[in-house]
Amino acid sequence: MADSTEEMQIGPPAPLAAAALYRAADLSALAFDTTADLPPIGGLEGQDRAREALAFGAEIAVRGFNIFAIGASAARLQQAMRPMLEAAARVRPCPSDWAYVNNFNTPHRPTAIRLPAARAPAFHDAMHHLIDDLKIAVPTVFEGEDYQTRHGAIEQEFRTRNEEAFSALGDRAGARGLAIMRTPMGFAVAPAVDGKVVPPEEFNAWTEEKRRAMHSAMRETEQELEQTLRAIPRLEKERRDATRTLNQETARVAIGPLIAETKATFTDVPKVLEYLEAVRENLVDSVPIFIGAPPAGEEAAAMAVARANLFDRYEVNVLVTQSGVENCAPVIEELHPTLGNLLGRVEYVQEQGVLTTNFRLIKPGALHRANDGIILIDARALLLEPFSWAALKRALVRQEIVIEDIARFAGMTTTVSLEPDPIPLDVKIVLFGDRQLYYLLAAADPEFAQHFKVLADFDDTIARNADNEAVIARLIASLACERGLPPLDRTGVARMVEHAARLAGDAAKVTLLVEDLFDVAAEAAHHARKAGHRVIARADVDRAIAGQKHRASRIQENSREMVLRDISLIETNGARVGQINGLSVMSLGNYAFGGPTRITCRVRPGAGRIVDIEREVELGGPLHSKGVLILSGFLAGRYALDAPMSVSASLVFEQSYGGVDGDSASSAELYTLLSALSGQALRQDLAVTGSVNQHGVVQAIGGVNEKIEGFFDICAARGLTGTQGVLIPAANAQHLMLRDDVVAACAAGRFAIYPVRSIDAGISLLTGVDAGARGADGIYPAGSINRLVEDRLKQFVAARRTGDDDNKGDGGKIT
Amino acid sequence: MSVPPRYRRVVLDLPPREADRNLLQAAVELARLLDAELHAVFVQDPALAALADFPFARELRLPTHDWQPMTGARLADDWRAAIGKARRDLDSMRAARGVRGETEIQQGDPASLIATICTASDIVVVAAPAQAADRVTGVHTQRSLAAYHCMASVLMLPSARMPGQGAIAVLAGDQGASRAVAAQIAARAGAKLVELLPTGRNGADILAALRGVPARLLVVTRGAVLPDADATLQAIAEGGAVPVLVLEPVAPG
Repeated sequence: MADSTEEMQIGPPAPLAAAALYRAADLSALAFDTTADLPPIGGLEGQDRAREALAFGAEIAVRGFNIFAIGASAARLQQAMRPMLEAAARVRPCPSDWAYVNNFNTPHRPTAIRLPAARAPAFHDAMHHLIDDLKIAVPTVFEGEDYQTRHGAIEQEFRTRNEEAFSALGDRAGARGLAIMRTPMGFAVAPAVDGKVVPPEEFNAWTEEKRRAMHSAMRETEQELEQTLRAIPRLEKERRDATRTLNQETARVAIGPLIAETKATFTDVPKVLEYLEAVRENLVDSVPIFIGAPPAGEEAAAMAVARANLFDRYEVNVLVTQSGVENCAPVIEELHPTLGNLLGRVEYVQEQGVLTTNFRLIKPGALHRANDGIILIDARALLLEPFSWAALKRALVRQEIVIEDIARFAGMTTTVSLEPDPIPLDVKIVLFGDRQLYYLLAAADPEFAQHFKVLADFDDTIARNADNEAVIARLIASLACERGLPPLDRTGVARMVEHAARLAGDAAKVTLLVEDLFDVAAEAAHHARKAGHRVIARADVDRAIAGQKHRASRIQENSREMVLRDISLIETNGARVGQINGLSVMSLGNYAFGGPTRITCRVRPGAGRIVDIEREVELGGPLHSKGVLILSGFLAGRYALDAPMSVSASLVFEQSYGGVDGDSASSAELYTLLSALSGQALRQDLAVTGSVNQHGVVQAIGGVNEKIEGFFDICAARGLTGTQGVLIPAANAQHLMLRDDVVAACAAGRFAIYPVRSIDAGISLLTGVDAGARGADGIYPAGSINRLVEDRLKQFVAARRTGDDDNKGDGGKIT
Repeated sequence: MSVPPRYRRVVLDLPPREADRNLLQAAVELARLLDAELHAVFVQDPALAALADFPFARELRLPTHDWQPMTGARLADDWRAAIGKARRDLDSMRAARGVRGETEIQQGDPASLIATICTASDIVVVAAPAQAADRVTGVHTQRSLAAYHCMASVLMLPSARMPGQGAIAVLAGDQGASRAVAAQIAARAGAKLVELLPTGRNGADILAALRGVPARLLVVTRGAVLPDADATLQAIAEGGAVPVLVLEPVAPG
């Protein structure tokens, strides 16, 4: 079988030209001196996919088509989206006002009233004025002569009936020769003569018959006394009923015109008219609060407060109003989406040690304020708040906002609470967050897709061309303008654009993570101001980037120092069999750096197994293990095709005490394996990165710039020899945005970057020996790496067949 | 304006049962405003004690409306409780308002005893029965009459809750000491002094005038209201729910 690798590249590659190591910005088509000359730019420039999604999501009025915007946090999604969402809101109708009023029949279920936009404050004021007017009008009517006369007549009538009943009883008792006497606790009936109680000795002197008659009269009078006393509550009730009826009739006279006047203002809002009728009926029943005699002394203040509270029941709690805001749908961002902040809450006040509440203590949530508009919520913050995510979904399912008191559900409070009327919900929800969160929700929450059907996926990068470099330049100009930074001159902008490419990890792309760019610009501005510069120049940007790196590079420098002090064993000259400098990247927060790691390999006859020591000790991740297993496939496919593999090899990352993952070292591992099998030494002045497939094709990896710079720093510290360099996958050449000093060293021929397409090309460069291609006879040329490897593998096969243990040894580690 | 007469005591005729706090408060307040002592008298009726001696004597106890045997010991306990409560309440009210005085127990006819112990420099406080049932004994009427006809001035309190605020009212044309006393009370109370201009001198006209001017006290000189003055004044107190202070026409010495 022909090997595709051999068709691509066999011989050692040439180093890349210095021009290929760093792509300078080309702003020649953009006419400006400083960023102050550049027009500002919207946050969605370069985000065509996300912009279309947002436009679609904001426009479509179908249930469930809410938006989930995803992207890196540094993309500042909400700021980027906001102008577009505000534009979408401007074409939506202005939402209604909402108010809560007392429900007189069931006070724990306050009534929600929808009013036309900006009318709720007028409703509030109208009710306030109504009560103020009633406080004057009602007492006036009740103090009037008509009422007083009728009331006096009622009082007099019942007092007379009462007094007459008792007076008659007293008279009857007197006629029977008895006196009714008041005791400290009640009444007693006594025999009397001329109104004076008969002394016992006189009574005893009476005849038996007279005494019996007196006893009989006493019992009769006692019965009448009891009956008369028992009749008092009934009479009292009759009096109260008569007074109540009079009060209600009088109150209707006083209240009617004022209610009618208030209703006239709201004839277009039936709910308000309905409420005013309820107010009328309640006022009629509540007349005593208007006409109660004011108390004196110490009770006055407390009573005044209590009476004021009684009037509060007629107030209007304006929950949401469009009064004083722009005449369009709202765009609300909720930064702290607790349950209460989202759905609203019922607050409590302490009165004499008891927590109480009423409809006036209902507070709106973000959904109330955003109703009929758009609300932006940070998805991570939403998920971190207990109950909020589930409550939001419930609101979307029910299409109404129900204020939920979780403390009550959880039994954390036992006080009386409210169940306010739900408010219909029609809102466009825009969640924003990182991609992982979106995919986790999509996988774990079956209801998620039902509610968030529009994905707005923000790109982290855009292609780097003249137009997009101009976009970045204008983006930087906008940031400088918005955040009060001094303008950047052309050199400064160019450096920022180049840094945007470096942040993208790709010379052919620029980052769209504006927060990262702003951080550099802000730091550069600081340096420029300190230096007395009015504009930010390239040097300021360079200093800012260097400063950022320096602050984060403690571990990187410690690692480099370990190498330079030969604690971490890395050679940068000479050659070794079965040993190579691999390259790895360590990410710490937002900072990543690269450095060399020694990889070694030993081989011996065996069962065709390559032992990945990292995996054996559980320090290797699955991707790393995959890379190692690919090596077996490569060997089996290329060599000793007519016999089973009889090699046993062990691979290890020397002095690696942490986990290893990724397959970017698999080409390096293959080189060490080939070196160990062929016995050809590998150059130690070169470092290698790149993954490999079973055909020996070297494939792209990540972090190429950091890896190169990490090895360069070691070599530079020891002194550049002119032979040192790094082998990178050819596919990674387009990602190179290397530091100035690396580029300069390469330009001067003191360092080199080799783009490698195949293992054959790489091994040729590393060993100085041609890899070799099979001839027409199917045999590799004598002395070539591939021939040496294949011969060695055949020896292992033979050794396995004959049980010859003489060839068991490894391939020799040191030449 | 003439110098107001000096009143030495406000004499409170305590009812033969637990006293209403409004009544006590009104008496204490009047004593304070006039810088007088408050002398409370609890009259124990010997006739009740005599009744308790009957083996068949019993009383209808309130508010349970159950009949219980009436004994001397129980009566003594009930009197003690009523007096003790009144004394405690009065002591605390007097202390709070800086009023001197004492609570005294007298034995005698409730209908007339107070009248016998008062002098011209006293003001007797008589409250209308808070309950209609109290009228069944007829004692209240006799007490009021006795107080009204004794040498002392009289404060007639209505049975309804009395207003704590409002002006001190006098009748226009009242030539007695009422104006000076009303002025003194108004000044001490920080209230306005108003002059009523009733269309006539009968109870209905005065009541009508009172409705136009919320008052906390009406001060009149005996004889300024006609006719049937005591009943009329009682009706004014009841109908207007305003205490009426009836002064003797001749200033006390």
